[in-house]
Amino acid sequence: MRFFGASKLNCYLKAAVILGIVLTAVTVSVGIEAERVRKALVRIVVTSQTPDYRAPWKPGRIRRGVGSGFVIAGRRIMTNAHIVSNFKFMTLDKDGDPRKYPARVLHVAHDCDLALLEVADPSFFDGTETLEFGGIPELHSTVATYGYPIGGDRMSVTRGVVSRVEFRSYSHSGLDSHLTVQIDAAINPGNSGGPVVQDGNVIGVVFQGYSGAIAQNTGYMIPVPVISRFLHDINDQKYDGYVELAVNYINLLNPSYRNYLSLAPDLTGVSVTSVLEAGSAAGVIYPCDVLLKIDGHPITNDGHISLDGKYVQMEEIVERKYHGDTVTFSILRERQHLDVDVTLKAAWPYTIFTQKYDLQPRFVLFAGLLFQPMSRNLINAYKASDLDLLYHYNVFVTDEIYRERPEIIVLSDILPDPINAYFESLKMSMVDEINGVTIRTLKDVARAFSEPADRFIVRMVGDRLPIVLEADRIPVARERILKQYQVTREQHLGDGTARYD
Amino acid sequence: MIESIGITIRWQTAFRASMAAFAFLIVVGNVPAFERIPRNLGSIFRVAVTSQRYDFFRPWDKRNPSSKEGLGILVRNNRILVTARLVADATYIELEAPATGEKVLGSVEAIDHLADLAVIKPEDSRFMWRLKPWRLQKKAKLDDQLKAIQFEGNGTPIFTDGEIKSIEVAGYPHGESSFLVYRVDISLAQTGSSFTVPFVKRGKLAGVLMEYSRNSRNAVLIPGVVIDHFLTDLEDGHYDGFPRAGFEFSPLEDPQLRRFVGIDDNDSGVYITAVIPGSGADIDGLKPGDVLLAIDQYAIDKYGQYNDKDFGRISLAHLTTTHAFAGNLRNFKILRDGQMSFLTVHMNHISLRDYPSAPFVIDEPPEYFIAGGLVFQELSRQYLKEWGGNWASNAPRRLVYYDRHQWDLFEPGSRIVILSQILPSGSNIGYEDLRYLPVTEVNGVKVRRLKDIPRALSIPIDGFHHIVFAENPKKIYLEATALEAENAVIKERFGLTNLLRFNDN
Repeated sequence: MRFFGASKLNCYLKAAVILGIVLTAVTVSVGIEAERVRKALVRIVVTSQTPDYRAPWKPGRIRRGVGSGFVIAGRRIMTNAHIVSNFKFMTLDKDGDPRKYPARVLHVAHDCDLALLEVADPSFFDGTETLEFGGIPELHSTVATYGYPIGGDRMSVTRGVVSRVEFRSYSHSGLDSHLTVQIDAAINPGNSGGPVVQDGNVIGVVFQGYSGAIAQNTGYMIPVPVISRFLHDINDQKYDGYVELAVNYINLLNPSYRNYLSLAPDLTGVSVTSVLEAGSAAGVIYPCDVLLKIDGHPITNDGHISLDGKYVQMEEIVERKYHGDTVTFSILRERQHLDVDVTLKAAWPYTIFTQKYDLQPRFVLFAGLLFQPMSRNLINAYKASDLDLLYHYNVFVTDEIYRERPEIIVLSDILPDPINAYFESLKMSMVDEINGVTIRTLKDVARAFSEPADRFIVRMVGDRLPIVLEADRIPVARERILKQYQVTREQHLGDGTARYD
Repeated sequence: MIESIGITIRWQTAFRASMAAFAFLIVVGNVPAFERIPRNLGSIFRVAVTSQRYDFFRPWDKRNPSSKEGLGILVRNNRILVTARLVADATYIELEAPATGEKVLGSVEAIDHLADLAVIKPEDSRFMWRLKPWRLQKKAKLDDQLKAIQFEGNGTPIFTDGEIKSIEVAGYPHGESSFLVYRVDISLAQTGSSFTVPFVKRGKLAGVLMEYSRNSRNAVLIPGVVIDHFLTDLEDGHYDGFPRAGFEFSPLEDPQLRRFVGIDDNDSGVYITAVIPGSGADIDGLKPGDVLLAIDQYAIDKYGQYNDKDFGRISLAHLTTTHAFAGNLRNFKILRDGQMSFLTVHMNHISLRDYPSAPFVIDEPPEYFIAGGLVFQELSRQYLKEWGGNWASNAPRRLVYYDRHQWDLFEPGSRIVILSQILPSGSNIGYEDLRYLPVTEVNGVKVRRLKDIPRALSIPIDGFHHIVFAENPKKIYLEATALEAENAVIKERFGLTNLLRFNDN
């Protein structure tokens, strides 16, 4: 009987091979491809610790997650940033190898959801294959996804076609949009980080999809231009991230608007409405400028260009550039044609809108009052709904709040104690000043509370009561609060830059 | 809190009220005699109303008609009292005497939406011939027994008894003003007519129903004293409206804050957090940061309450609203920078016209102006409420913020004009997605009200209109001639009877 078991398995294997030969050549190459990808594919088991923005002195909640990844040139493993975010410990599994290889993050790019891992043990690469990258796939061409999704323990392969190629938001950071490719292959939790393969080459990394309740057979992958940009950016061993033009514009489809600018009918472009003061284009491009060409590509009246035979938003040019690169615009300013060069950099005020990872939350706790800079993480953690707070957050960039206040400081929570018993109604309001000093950053809060004073008067934005804290009551209250709530740390001000949480 | 609305205060009062009721039952162990069956039922009418609201997303259109039913009570000077919400946006009002079934048309004589009160008069005054008006019961105390009067479909009266559980100052329906209310624990009958159900005490009208929750058996009444203010105000033939001083305050509970502002006792004074520009409080010198200690002879406690001879401890807002008439003076005792002083403050009615964003637009159609398919409107809370019950979160955040902070951001009497939407046409191609944008300037003219738009559009700059917004795209241009030419097309295409509406008053 035990012999039967083995021979039966053998029969199946033979049958599969024979069938492969009898059918078509394509099936054979798919079979070979699958075997090659299998040797490059890894299963990533990550233990992460997510900081708790509601108790920022704590190390955070520990979780375990599983994702996929694959070996690329240079003995590196590519996966998604969201698989390895906030990781504390991580091991890699290979199919058919019982060993678990500890790994660490070499580079992570939260703005495009990509990461590179390295393994210390060189024997990990024994018998592994290295995958190469292809190009942007054609619509309706067939692709295969590989990974370790739910539903089993072994490698899974699904097939589908390319449904759509377009700019879309990357949900990991919550703000960034880049080129994505939509495929109709089944994608499930655990698939993330796995390769999408066509003609033996990786043409994308699986990264997000919809739950079946919202849309079916709609999965997204990160295409090669985004991956190449990431790999190029880290050539200097440091990930700098995307650069932004930080310019708002309006289309030039309206005939009146065109006549106002005396535009000849064959002249196309868009009209600038505002330029971010803290952005790349400040001082180079001005409102009312008409952008006609970007790096020589004519801009259509709704802001598109033709690039590599594809019709894409003009931002795609900037997407593929790096810190310090320039982009050249042909513009029309007060009816004069001229060329201007914009040296590209990131637009820091926008980072208030992105979800942060791998960072301990910054805060100041004083007399049980918790002060934190406004961020997307903060809003999510507290489910903030205060109108004044959300309004200032919304218009932080557009109304240039950041120029006056690089950070919006919030009284986010109160650890109840007799010293702060009456401040409940001030929770989630914005701090305006402490002892007459305008609060522009979290550091200002720490500094204001460290100045000697008889009492601290904290005033909020809006028509609210001031908070009065009498200095002689604070030491006792402080002892009580630290003990009662097991607070291990009273402040974390970060790395010195107010521009990053 | 707006002079009066105070969550803390309200909670406190409710708590005390329930404690009082509890104590009464324990100590006295007795139930007071029930209110006897009232007479004078012939002076209560059934009121059937057909109303038609405007659609603020399509300000040229009315919504489909809807009907409401309620009661009307004959009060002094041959006036029939109803709640304002029963007759809001009414197009047809019919009065019926339940006893006889006789019907007559009626019309609104005066209405105060903030106090939720109105009086209607029948087309034929013989309808009320020899009927006796209800007199008002203006005082009340906790545990008073009240009798609610309702009618079956066939005119048979239904009486239900209830007990006053609390007397306090609370927000009225539009959330813009707070007046006295009685909260009554009662199980009202389920009949079609729940508007203006009268509650009587010793043969007098003690209050009318404003809100009722069947789950908690909680009836909120507009009390006799508020009704009396409304009727008295009407007596000279001109309705002035309830006054207010025009400030907001917070309770002064924290001992650290009390010491900081220089109060040495433990229970007096409230902290002024805001003063409405142009209000009596503003003109007569009240400032944010002041501590209000007393109004006339009434000492104000740290929750903003005083001891009223008729109602016990209630919010100071009763003193500045129902207790006063427009133009009255009140003496404010205040503490500023540790110094005591007195201010004589005018109690003025803040007219709807003074609000940069009107808290409601009822009984009059929304104004609008359409040029080249661009629809301009004035921002109002009524407009924002088109986003539904959760409008404060769902409506465009900038507009909600402008409404909330209107007194700080805009001058009293000026308005917030928005480009609410665009009706697509050839001349506005490319702009069709623009909407909900505050308009700040047109052709160099600062926009302070809707009427500024046609005025400014009559003076294009070199043949072009320059329209400036508070946010992106900041500025757009339109050819004056294209705009003119397109108006007739748009009117025809979208079946509009008018491209503009201004209410001239």
